[in-house]
Amino acid sequence: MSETAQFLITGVVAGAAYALLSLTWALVRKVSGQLFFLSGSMVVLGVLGTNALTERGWPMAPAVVVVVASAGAVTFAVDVLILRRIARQTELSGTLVMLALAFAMDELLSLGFGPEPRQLAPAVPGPPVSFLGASLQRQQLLIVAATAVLITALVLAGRSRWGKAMRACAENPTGAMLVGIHPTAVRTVGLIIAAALGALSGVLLGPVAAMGASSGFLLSLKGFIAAALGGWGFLGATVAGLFLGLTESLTAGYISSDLKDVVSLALLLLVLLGKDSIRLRRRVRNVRVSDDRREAPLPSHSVTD
Amino acid sequence: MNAPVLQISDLVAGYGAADVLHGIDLHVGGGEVVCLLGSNGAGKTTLARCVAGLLKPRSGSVTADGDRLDGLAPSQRVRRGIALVPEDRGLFGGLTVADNLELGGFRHGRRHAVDRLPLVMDIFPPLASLLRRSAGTLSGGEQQMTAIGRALMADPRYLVLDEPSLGLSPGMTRQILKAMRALADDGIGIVLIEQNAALALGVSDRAAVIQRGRIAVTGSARTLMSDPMVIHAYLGGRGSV
Repeated sequence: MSETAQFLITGVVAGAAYALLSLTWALVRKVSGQLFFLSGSMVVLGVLGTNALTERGWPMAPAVVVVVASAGAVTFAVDVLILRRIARQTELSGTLVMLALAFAMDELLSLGFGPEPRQLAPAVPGPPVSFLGASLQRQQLLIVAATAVLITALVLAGRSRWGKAMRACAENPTGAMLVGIHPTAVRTVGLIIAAALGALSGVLLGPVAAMGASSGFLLSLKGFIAAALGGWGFLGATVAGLFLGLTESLTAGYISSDLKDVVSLALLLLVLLGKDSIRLRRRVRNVRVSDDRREAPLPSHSVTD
Repeated sequence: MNAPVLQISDLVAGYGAADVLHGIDLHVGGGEVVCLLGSNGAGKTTLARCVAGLLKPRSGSVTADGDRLDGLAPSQRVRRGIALVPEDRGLFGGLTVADNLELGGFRHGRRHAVDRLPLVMDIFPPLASLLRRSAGTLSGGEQQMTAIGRALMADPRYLVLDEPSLGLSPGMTRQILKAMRALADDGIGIVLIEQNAALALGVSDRAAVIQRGRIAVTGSARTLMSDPMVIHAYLGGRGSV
């Protein structure tokens, strides 16, 4: 029982981390329609940047503020210099540019901070706590709690006027302009929030997992898998992140830790294949619905009569 | 105090090296419906895009109640009371009808949206039962009502409608055009770009025919209904509406 509980708790903590990553993907997808392969780089920047500053004697809080702000500033620069120029390109072009930027960013992180993985000191030190017979580090509790708070904040923000404006910009930039929204500004704000969230995730995860410049891409991929599994919505991505974490943890615990990444990638393939079939069925149904619903007349009490 | 007017003066615009509009002059007063007729490619949509700020003209000017709109972004023009319902309706298909309408009043804040919504429901009562539906799942007529309703949420002084009858049945077109007439009677200036000349002229005060980027004929709607060229080209040879 305690072994299973340990696997489950490890899975929930990993799931919370994947949920955080997937939120950055879902957010960028909502505001720009692009795939945010820079997500993992921002997490690594959070770890390496905070580590570098605290090693120089900075207190934790200002170091975190500076690093999170830097992630936002870097993404702002990347957006102004590159992403805005490819906004009207095809999705494939955008994806390739994002991938190239992610690899370039990882190289820059390696140059700036060295290739060695780093780990942060726990924000909440102290002995592990026992829960259902399993051992849980206090930092892991903080990860789960912070994830819950951030997800709630994002979900609420997504339902606000500004959240809807962000979705509107991604769906129809011209339509957004015609209602008085500035799509470029909204998109940039969304990207900056996603980058800051990524760096903050790094600060949270840094004490429980050592990360180096080369860790970024796999982290990005996990975020992508969770976001895609969850249908690119905030809540869906969160649930999918938790599911992914639990699946990996149970696979690693009961089968082999070598298989956990294989299982998550296989899961992605299965869902993508399934989604294609669902999308096709929906398309067929929508065609039938629109055929049936053409031109419902206005009722007689309309002022138009 | 001058009467409210949307004034388009000597407008030249185009895409790439080609000019589409060659010096358009047109004005629309508050409370007036001006119908713009023309064949495909004549420049009607280009003119609408220039007025809304989606396309920068090469020369000429657009003013609203004396304020020059040149150089203003579309979002800034919305603040100055200009609203465009584009040919493709420009709806946010993944959002609900209620969200689309709320975003129509984005510039004015949430309070404004709450106050303004009943007015739009009065004009288009069927929208009341569609508020929770995704805009992308609506029929053509429902989408057009949502698109016009969304534009009205911004409380515009001038409304430009690009082909509102596109894809709609004659009955639905008639009802939407009558709603536009009612809006004009409440003081909004309306530019009505239409292929369905017979119905559009019936609700318009004035009209202009645009040919190859120039205003070829202009006058009262009643005059144009009896103009031989308009009868031949747009009314199918019939001089009545």
